[in-house]
Amino acid sequence: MAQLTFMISMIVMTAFWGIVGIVIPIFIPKGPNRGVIVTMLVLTAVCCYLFWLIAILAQLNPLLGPALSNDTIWYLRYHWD
Amino acid sequence: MGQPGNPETLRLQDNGPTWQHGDAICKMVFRSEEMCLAQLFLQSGSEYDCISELGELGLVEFRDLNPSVSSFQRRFVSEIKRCEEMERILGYLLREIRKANISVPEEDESPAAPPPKHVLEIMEELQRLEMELSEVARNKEKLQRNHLELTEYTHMLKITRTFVHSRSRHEALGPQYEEFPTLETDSVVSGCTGMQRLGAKLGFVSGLIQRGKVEAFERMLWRVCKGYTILSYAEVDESLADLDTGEINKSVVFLISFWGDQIGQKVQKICDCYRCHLYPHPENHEERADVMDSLLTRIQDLNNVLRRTEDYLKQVLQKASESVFSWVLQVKKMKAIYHILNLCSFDVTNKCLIAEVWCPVSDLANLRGALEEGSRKGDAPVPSFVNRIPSNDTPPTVLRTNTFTCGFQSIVEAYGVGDYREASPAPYTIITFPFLFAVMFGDLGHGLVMTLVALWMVLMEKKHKKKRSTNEIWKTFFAGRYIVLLMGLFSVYTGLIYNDCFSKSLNLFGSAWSVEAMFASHQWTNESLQTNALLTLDPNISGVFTGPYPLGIDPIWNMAVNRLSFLNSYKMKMSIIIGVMHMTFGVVLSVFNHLHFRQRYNVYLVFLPELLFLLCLFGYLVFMILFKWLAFGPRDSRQAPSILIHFINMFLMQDADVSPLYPGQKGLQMFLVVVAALSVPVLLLGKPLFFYWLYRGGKGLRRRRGYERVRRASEDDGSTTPHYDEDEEEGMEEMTSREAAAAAAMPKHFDFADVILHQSIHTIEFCLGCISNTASYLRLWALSLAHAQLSEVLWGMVLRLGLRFSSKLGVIALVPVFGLFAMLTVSILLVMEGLSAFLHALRLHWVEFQNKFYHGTGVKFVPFDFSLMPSILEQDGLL
Repeated sequence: MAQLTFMISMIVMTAFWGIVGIVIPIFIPKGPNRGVIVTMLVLTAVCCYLFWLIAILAQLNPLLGPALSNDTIWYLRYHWD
Repeated sequence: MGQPGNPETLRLQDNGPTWQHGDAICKMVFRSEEMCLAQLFLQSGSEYDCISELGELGLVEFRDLNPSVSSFQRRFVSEIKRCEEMERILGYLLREIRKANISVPEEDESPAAPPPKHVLEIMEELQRLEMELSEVARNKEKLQRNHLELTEYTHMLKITRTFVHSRSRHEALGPQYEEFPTLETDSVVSGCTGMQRLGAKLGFVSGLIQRGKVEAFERMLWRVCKGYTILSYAEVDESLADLDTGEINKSVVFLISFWGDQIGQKVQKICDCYRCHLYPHPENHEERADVMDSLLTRIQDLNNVLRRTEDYLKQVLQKASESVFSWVLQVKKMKAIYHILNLCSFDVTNKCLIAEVWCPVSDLANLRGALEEGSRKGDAPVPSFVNRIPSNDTPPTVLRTNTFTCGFQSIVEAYGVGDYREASPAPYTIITFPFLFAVMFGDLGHGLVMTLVALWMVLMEKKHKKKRSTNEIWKTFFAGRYIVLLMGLFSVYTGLIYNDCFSKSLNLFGSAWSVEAMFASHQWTNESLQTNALLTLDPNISGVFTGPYPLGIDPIWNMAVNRLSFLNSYKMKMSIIIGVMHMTFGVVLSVFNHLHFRQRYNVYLVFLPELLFLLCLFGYLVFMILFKWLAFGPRDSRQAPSILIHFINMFLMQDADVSPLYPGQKGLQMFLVVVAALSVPVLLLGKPLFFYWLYRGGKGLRRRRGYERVRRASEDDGSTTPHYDEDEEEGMEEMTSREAAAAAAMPKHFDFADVILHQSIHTIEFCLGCISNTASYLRLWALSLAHAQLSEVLWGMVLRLGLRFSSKLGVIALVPVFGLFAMLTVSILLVMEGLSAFLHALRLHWVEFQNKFYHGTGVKFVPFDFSLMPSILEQDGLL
């Protein structure tokens, strides 16, 4: 289950930023601004994908868990499930 | 060349000319444009119009061909003096118009510079206006003075009447005698009679004096005249304006009664000294009444005349204000044209002016078109033409920008204008700068506010451009509106990933950490809840951790007490990864420069060692970070190694007591350190040795360079041929100074020590810089931590207090609390933190990114363009 969610989110994000960074630049019409727009799209895709990837990889194998106060634990037990 | 149907069209925008052309033009934004030096031959008679056309288009930059001539000895000095005279008159006109509170209507299009034959007409008109205005102003002043005198006289008469009011009771004393004011006793009356017997004559001096001087005046009178004078005075109700100083102050009417001629003279002198306004004192009631009547009528007349004069003045100014705006612009353009004409040199044999200009190669056709247009307008028999000449000077740098990219270009140029044809970091900065800002600013709520503000500025831009604001801070923010917009958008994204919205987290997908699982596995019981204030979830227990949160940081961390220990580790590692990638990108960009300037040896001797050094050490660090994240889980959390210790051990080549991360680690690390260590001497000595070898031998290369030189010399003859298309031009491009330097690093004078010094500085800077720059990227962590903490403080200390009220009064109390929260958020978190993150992101770009490939020692191209020149009157704030 955990693996499935991870794989789904991985595929969705990679596909999304892949489309933004690789597919859309093909369709930008030729003009004086084509270079700038393609650069912007590719860089946006790279930066945002990298940022998301770092966030998810950092949490993949947590070495420590959150320390919660007992009030919080009581609330979470009854309200988050 | 400018014919209809030609695919080349030129459109002027407020940020310089742009083109609608093919692919080749797209490259212009990555690298500055190719420039050429051209000579313009301007036929006398049409030179003014040609320069006027060029000024309207803003294509070229003129060079000064008469640098040794002082500005007073240039050809067109008298014309410039005339322009300045006209500007002086226009300034006077504008001041008068301002004083009369008439608004100057501004037109959208600016008028063209007037041809010399119209100039005299404008000059005459201006001079006529000036004369008329000054005459009217003088008359008005005279009338006002007159009016003041009459008013003072009237007041004096009215007030002195009260002094002698009681005289009516003592008419018998006769016309010569005036009674003294109220405090009369019989003795004084008898004293008068006594004087009458003595035959002394009483004299009167009356007038006005300023309120402040009255006491001193009285004392002086007493001292000088020893009691033979009596002064009575009363204040005037109305405050009168003193025309000399323009102040409005109170005056006092006084009446001095004295007897004896000598005393009279002394009194007169004292009155002059104190600058009193003296008026003749009437002898009796009838005279007083007559004088007052005549005064009143005269004042009325004067008022009429004054009003008419002011109306006339206003009319004149109104009429002038209609055309003053276009006059100002016309004079400004004329003056600019004459300044440019002064830069040209006069060729006596051909009777034409020669100008040398820097022109982008792609604009040569437009330049020719402009000259033709100018020649046509000037009705010259022979058209002016352009001749392209070769040059060894470094041309100025020009990069085409539009309204969107010009903000980013300006922040790159604030560090330094790029060298001629050097790769420009601006197109990459468009995205990486807002991204790095957002990493430091990352908050969904704050990012949203910033985006909205920027969106407002962008949507209102047409309106704001017309309104010329004088507020410097607003102008700065407005100029950077697109930067702020992108910063806001990226901040929304990073805020989403950091899961931080006004210091609260969003739970969109359900947290991955389950508290229930801890209870289910009997790790926690209800008693343990009651006895322990703090409990930690253990990811080793099944069901507690169900996979990473799909979008960003898990929302449970917002409520955890040990939140920072997780976030710090995450953010620091993220900063290092982003930093190393940014720097590698910078190093890779330098390849484009090396290839463009045909310095292939740089690719092998500079780029490759730099890249190897960077990747072997810091690329490996990034690899270790990723490896630890992937390979070590909760099960091995006790043996999870510290990456820093491993990294340090790598340099020291020890393996001490730490267990290896993966098999073969020691061998791989030693290999990487050796490669990095070897690349340092290659970087240090490679290039100098290569140059030395070229200098000594390397005959094969020298011959090839000589052939290139011969080829270049054969195309030096004029450029009346149409300009080449792009690929041909690549081959026949003139040697830039860099290539010339490369070619000249040979036979003549080879300074080995100089090259070694230069290269060793570069090596030290790069290698030490690698380490310090990587650490410098940790500011991404530091600032995002500061921002998150400030945000939390504002929530906890301000808004939460307002939300905690349990009574109904809390609703009302929440309003000021929210107001305080909003104000502090905007001022501290948005403005202060925003500026701080902006500055740090800028520093990261300028230093850590750009010193890998950018020199920034060029000169900016400043075209002769009327729209770029402010008029002096605008600068004075008169317009």
